[in-house]
Amino acid sequence: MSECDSTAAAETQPVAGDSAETLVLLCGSLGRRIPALDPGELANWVVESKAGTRAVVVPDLCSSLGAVAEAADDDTRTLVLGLCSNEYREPEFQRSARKAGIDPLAIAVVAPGSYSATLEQDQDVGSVTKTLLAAAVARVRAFPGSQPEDIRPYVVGGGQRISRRALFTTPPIAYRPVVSIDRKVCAASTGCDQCVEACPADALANVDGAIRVTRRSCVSCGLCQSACPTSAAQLPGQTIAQLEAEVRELLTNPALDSDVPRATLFVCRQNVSALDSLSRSSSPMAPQWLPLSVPCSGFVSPAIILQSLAHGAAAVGILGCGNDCRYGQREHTQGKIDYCQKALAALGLPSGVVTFFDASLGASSLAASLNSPLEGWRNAAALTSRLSFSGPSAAASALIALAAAAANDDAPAALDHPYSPLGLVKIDSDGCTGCGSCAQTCPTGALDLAQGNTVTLKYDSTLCTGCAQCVSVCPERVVHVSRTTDLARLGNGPEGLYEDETVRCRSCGSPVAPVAMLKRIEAALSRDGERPNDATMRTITSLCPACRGSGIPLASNSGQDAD
Amino acid sequence: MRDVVSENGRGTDGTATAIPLADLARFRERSYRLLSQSFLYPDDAVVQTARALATELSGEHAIHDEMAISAEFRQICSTWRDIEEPTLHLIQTRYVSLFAASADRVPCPPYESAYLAARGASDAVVLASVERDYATAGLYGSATKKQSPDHISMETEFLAVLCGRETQAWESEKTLQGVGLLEKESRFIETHLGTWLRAFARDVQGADAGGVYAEVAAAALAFVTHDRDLVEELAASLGGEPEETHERV
Repeated sequence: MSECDSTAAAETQPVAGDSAETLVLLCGSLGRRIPALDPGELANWVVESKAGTRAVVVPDLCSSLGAVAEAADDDTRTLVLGLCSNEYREPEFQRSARKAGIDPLAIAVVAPGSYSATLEQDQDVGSVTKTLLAAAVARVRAFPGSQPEDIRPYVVGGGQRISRRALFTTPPIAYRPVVSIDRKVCAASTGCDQCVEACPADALANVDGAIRVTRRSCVSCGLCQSACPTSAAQLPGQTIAQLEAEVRELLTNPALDSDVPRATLFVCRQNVSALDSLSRSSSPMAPQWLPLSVPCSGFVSPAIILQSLAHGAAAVGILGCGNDCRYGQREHTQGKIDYCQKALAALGLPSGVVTFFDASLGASSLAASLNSPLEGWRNAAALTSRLSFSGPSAAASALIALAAAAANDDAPAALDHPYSPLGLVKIDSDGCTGCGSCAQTCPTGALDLAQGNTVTLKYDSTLCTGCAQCVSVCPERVVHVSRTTDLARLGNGPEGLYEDETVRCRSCGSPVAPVAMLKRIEAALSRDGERPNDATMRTITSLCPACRGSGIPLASNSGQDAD
Repeated sequence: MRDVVSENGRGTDGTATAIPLADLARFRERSYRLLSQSFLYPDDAVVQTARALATELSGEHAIHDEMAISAEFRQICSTWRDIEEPTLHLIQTRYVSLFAASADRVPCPPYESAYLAARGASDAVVLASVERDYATAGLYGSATKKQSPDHISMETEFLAVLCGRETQAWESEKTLQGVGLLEKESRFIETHLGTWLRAFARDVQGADAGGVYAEVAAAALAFVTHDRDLVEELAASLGGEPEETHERV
């Protein structure tokens, strides 16, 4: 139930700003719940600091979410709700927003009432709340709008049969986002199925080189999106781009003094109510923690953690489920955190700035953990550079930035770790024929085959996600991949892994094959004592397939060259 | 869009309105019928029927509030409801150029077989499969209004008929029959309309950018996408309830 006082008399409704694309609704009870908060002042601040925003203070909004439809106007496209607690009834505000014609996925909810109650009263509650609201506005604005396929209805309380009494009425329906796959950039056709492996609900399958989504099975956890190396998988309304916008705002919004350390607290959506429990406990949490909701703790990749740190976060916390995570992510989340801690240590930075908080341990234990002072390190130099959570190089670029900030003279050691977001490819150059199968299948372009007078296989370790597709397609079995972050190597740029001379067609001059490939062909044809005669072999190894097919007679059956 | 949803349709407390299943099925029946009419040649009779259906659907405030029937579908209701005589001739010309231009070059063939043929399916097999589904439901093509069975207006009309029967089943409290019809609707969307509508809608939107038929195609795609999920969800939630548990509610 909402914690706002629904029995209180209605207050005035300050409306700030003209008709605008983003509507911010603030519960009028925030001021009663947190004396340091003035909803009217918050509304004015939002409108003044965020162009294209209108703000309305609605008395007891938390208990009358139907007010959304009344407050919205024809220009409203996106919605931010500032509530007293996280314990709101989502289907109700979804319904009210639908009635107002607002995109159901362009809505963000923050609960400054709950969060602020976790802080000491002498702390700058207003500035923190403004920062959270600004981040929510950035989040909804970063969403380009949903398509009809982006949402699907579900029966509220699903999994249970509708009761006999309710049989002849429609069960309550709510909507959730469904993952969408951008086939233009999806690498499934080359065998990539990282999203399939990440999905905890068997909602995804690689069918004939295309990812098929079983819409009814999708649980909107976003794990596929986090795993996708090409950003083809997107969870509408909770995209990586939206998360980037939100974190950027949290780390840079001027409402908070720039000297105040800021720490991002990624809160699994199953556990947002833990903040409400925390607000009822007597132990406050450190004010630097700025909470933001994610679909699942497993969604928070090492790239997201490291990028946050590289861009000025004093710490990164993940508030997630205990061992009963419904998507089985506890171990994976711990593994990712462990990797980040070890990577930071390898760079000579404090590893304790990345922490997991177990929501199942209860409010007092959680409060004690969150109240621990943060370690005194922050990469303030990077606040203005570009923050990017997506793409294969996000983790590498964060590590490069952190290494620069650490300014450690000692070259860091390579880090082998099962949760390394980066891989390391090695090739036995003696056995490689330069066929290029590995480069063709690489979903991120980490491997690239350049053909000229020489054949060069180039490798960019900052783009390698360690997916090992190159291993499975190599016909010579000479590619090896380990989950290794080679910190010393990351800043070196692309390097050559293999090089060979290109043999050109004696007739037309186009490339025939690398020398090693021709030797491999000769060896293959010589097996079982069926080696072709020398002339035929010369034809095969000196003419391109097109010229061989056109019957250019460079060799005769008698074994004499025609030229 | 806003004019479709009356502010006075219901309370503003955000609480759910319990929609009788019969009302929902009737709403879906009219929606499919509107889509069916929208893809017929827009002569006076068709336009009158579409206008009447659009007006009825626009008044279904409770359902519009409960369901995320997309903006595209609401838009097409407004378009048909407000269509005026002078624009009708333009729409008729557009219909012919998009869907019936000539025997050998139709920009957007409104036939399932035309789209499935590109995936290697035989025209004859597609037609036979659709006709079998109609016949199983006791339906046959009209002798006077000849239309290919795999035309989009036929497939959407068939779904309208199933929804009409579903309405009657809920009204007469025949639970198993209602659930069975939901499953039939789901299966038909899965095996027929849903297999080609996306590609067809994309073609129409490309060929008629900014036009009425681009709107109609977007509305059809949005509505059927939503309905496919909704019907599947309802069938799963309501299925298995024994017939003898009927009780008046």
